[in-house]
Amino acid sequence: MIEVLVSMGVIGGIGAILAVVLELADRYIANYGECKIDINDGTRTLTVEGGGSLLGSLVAEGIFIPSACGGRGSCGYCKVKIAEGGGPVLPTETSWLTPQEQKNDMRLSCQVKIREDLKIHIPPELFLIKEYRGRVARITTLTHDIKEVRIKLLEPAAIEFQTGQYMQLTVPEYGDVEESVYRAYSLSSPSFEKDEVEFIIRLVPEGICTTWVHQFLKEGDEVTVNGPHGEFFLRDSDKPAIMIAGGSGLAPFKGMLRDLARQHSTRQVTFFFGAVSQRDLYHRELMAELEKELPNFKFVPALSKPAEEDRWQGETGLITDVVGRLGENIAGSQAYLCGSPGMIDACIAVLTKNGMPQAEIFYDKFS
Amino acid sequence: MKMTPQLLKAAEKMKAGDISRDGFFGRDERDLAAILDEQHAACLRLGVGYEQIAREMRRIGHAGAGGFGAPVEVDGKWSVVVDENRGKIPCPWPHPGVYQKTVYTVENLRTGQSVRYSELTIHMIFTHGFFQGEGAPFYNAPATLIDVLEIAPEAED
Repeated sequence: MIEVLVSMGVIGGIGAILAVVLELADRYIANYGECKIDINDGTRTLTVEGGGSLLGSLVAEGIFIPSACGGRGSCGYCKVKIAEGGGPVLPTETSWLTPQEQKNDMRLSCQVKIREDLKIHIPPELFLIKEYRGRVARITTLTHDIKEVRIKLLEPAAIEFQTGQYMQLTVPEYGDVEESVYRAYSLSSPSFEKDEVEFIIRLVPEGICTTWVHQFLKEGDEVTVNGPHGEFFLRDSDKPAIMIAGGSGLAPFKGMLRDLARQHSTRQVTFFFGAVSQRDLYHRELMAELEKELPNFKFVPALSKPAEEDRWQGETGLITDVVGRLGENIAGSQAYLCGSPGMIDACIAVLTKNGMPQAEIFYDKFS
Repeated sequence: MKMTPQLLKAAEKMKAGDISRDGFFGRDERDLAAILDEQHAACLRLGVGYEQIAREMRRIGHAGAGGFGAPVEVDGKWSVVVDENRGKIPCPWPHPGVYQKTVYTVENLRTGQSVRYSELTIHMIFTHGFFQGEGAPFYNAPATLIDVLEIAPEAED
């Protein structure tokens, strides 16, 4: 038995040493020279130094493929289609790619090393994503666990986006965090504010980015963001809009409502905001101002467990119960939802039960 | 137990600042294999498998999901608060799997004792038998979980 274990150990050890030698040789000896990356059948062609990851090379050329883990192969977001030159799918990728995706030549760009010329396909809108350097203009504490961060853009100094989209905030190395990562947050500023962007960020227990924002980031600090990303925005329509959010999910709606106010919109909008108790409510004054500016806007905060000292007079119960009380009156409306997956799934169930078609429900899940 | 290449990779990712701010080891300075050994032995001594503990953590935690952050009474025994946060976190072990950053706080209404754990915690206990190192943010000793969640040993066939 001991001999078998020793043999297994020796074989394993030799394998591990060979793997390390191969990795070092690949890193320091292999020279792939210049390689070409053809994007979307010649729409853009990049010449890059071979040997780097596809994701890193694209980012260095200003093409931002969404990724939450900074290229460590642990989020599975940075998928691109590689028509030629990607080599075989690696074991580190298979778990993130469905059989259909593998059949369609989808790959994790962070795991693909550039060894030869490549032909890739990416969604054209990714060409519009830029990296912005900015300075923190203001940090406002909104609740016990939510802060609002406003960033003045420096380079480029202006941004084009659709209100409701999100950007990725780069977290630099700090404390024990030895590698930079980026995390996605909804923009809470409206698209007419082109020289500043704003985010509403809730502290996540153990969160690398939110801890940095809540405990380390200061007004005046330089930061980097990239975007815009996402397809969550108010559709151009005369249909009444029902907005539903909880926690930091208020962010995109703040921008959307400010946009509507600037346009002197008469669209009927009801915004249901769910919280546990009064200490979780914020921006009530802003909502009251918007109610004055928008003749057909109503803000409906609802507390699921108001504290005794809250002396709460408003709606009580789960946000799903409050929305459910609208009954079938919602049938001709559109709904916009932003919050936790559980809340969104429960709200969709209530809305569809009351006659709203799925096609009229738009959402941004915290996932 | 020996530190296999898989465990070495996992331990690297469990360090503070890699996939979570404070990491998974807390104050425990032993290697991952030693922690796993000790926690597995604790479960055997207590007569409750780690899979069984994780199943109860999941069942009771998920039963509180409908409260959207407000306390929900489960089975008349526990008050459960579920906090679903933005984003997902991968398992430090080298295998596929990302988990919503959901945090469960379960209070035993009879004893007042409570435990706090995440969706990833449930996975790591169920799949890897890893309760994290003492002092880690979501560490709970097997005995504490068994007490608070009132888990009885499964009857043998």
